[in-house]
Amino acid sequence: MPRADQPSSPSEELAERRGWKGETLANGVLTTELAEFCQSGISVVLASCDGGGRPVVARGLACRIDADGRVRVMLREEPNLPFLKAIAAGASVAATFTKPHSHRSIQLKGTHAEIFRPAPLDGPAAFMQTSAFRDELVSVGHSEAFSAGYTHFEPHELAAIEFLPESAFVQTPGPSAGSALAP
Amino acid sequence: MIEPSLDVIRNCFEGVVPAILATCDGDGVPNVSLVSQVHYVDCERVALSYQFFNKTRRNILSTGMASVSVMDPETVTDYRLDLFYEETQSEGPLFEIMKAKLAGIASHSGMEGVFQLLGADIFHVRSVSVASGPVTAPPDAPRNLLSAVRRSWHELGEARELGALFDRTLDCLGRYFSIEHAIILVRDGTAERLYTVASMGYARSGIGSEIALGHGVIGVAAREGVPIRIGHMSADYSYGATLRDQALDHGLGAPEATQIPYPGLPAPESQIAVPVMVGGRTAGVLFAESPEPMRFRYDDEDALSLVAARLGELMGSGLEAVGAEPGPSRPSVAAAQAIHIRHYAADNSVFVDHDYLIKGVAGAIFWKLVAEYDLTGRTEFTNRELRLDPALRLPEFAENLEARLVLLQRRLCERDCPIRLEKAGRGRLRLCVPGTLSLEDIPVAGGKLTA
Repeated sequence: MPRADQPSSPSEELAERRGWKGETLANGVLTTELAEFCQSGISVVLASCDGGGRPVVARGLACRIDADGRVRVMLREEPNLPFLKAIAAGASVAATFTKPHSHRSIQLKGTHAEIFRPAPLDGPAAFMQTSAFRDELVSVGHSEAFSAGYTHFEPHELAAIEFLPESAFVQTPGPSAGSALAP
Repeated sequence: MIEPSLDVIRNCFEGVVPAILATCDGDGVPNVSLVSQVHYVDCERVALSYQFFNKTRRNILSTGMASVSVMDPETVTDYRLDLFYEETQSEGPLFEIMKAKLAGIASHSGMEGVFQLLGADIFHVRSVSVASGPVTAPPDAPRNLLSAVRRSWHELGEARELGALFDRTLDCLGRYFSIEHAIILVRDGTAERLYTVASMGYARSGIGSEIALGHGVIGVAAREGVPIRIGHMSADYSYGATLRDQALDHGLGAPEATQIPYPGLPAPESQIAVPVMVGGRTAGVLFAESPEPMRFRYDDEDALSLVAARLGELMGSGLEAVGAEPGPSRPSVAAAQAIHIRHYAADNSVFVDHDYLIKGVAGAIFWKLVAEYDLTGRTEFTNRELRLDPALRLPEFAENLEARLVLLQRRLCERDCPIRLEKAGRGRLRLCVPGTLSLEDIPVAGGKLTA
């Protein structure tokens, strides 16, 4: 795990959200700063729940958030088929976005998500964000080979899910981790 | 039967790449987070570090189910594991193993003081599947550990005395495991500490230096009776800090005259300490370290555990300390010199011509030998009489005497002391005194050290 020179803390995240005066999205769940953070080329991980009530984990590649605050996560289809199957069956979704350098981490949750074939802008966004993430992994000490492998995808592998986040939580390690991000 | 077996994907559990942990609550609401540690317990179980009471924790306790993704940092293979919660351990061997490893991960990721282990959550692994990868071929193994163990096993069996057994063990670590820095410590059963009897790869040998039970990877391995290793050095396990703390515990601002400096590396990154068991109890520790991070993996731990098991088996087999194998050469000394020996009864510390030699049981043994020699002129002693001498208060286990004789003999050589211990036949020692002794015994009442 990479080094954080100045690790972020949950209390900072919560205070920033409480003090936020700017524009918000998704009915106030996201600030524009949080939306920017999620699209900045960082770790995106996902979970859902299958028909038997079992959790299903998935790895995302990148994300796009539109003006309404709808979150679109691009992921490789084949490795994440159980997750996509759970989403297709109407299960809820959780997505956690983490910046390795600072350990800053937030989680978004939505009760409904839809699966899409990749849109024209998805591929370029995934390429740009995974490139940035690869550079970040190298900058915090991972090898070039690992960082390239970790962020690799082929355009034909892409799928996307989209959901409107209904809640956001701070996941940065430390006291108060897991608290809801709210005004 | 889980496939692939967890013991072939242990690289995923070294904490190099954070794992992804997914849980759900009773209503099916998922939760996902990165976790710094998924620990290999056995072929069917893993343990997750429980650090904070959060949503993940509540979900695990409520449903018992979790799903994780772990990644091999070398091949970039993504494995998905379905887990079922069994129990939480908040103390004991597994907890200490994970605590040490987590301290290393925290140190490496700048999260010291944030990552703190509250418990080891143990899960049964229901299934393992490969989600993607491998992306790259695994690197060639730098050495064959199974072959290294086999050769070491054979060579250790050739040792005919305890000191040589220690030296051969370190030699095998160097030749077959490419380990450059290693220490063997023996547990002092009466004082809850370990003392160094052999070392390799340091500017000073540190023979006689002590580590308290529970301090650093060595002390924790000895206390818990399990291997402890760390891939990135943490202040919590650093012996620089440990020794400072020990000094402070004793109200000491500066090292005592009788403190032999611990030999370790100034800036180690990886350390491994494996307990040496004799007759089911921890009799010592085999320790290795490296300035390279992540030098010792699960496979190294298995291999070194077998070497330590062999060492323990042979330590318990009745080898004598001083044997016929060639020892360190004797320094040339002027004949018939005067040798002054001062003994402090308070801690059995012994000074030869004002230079500190040794203390504790080894100091008491030395004092007994020279006092007897001074009184009667006797130079030969049996191991049996030392073992039975109530004044020496030796623990019941035979290797305690022999290990102390190794320590004493080595300190005599290292300090260039004119007095030497030699083998005089089976179970017998000879004290060689090339001069006249002048003995000074400082009784307990006046025994406060000022040197």
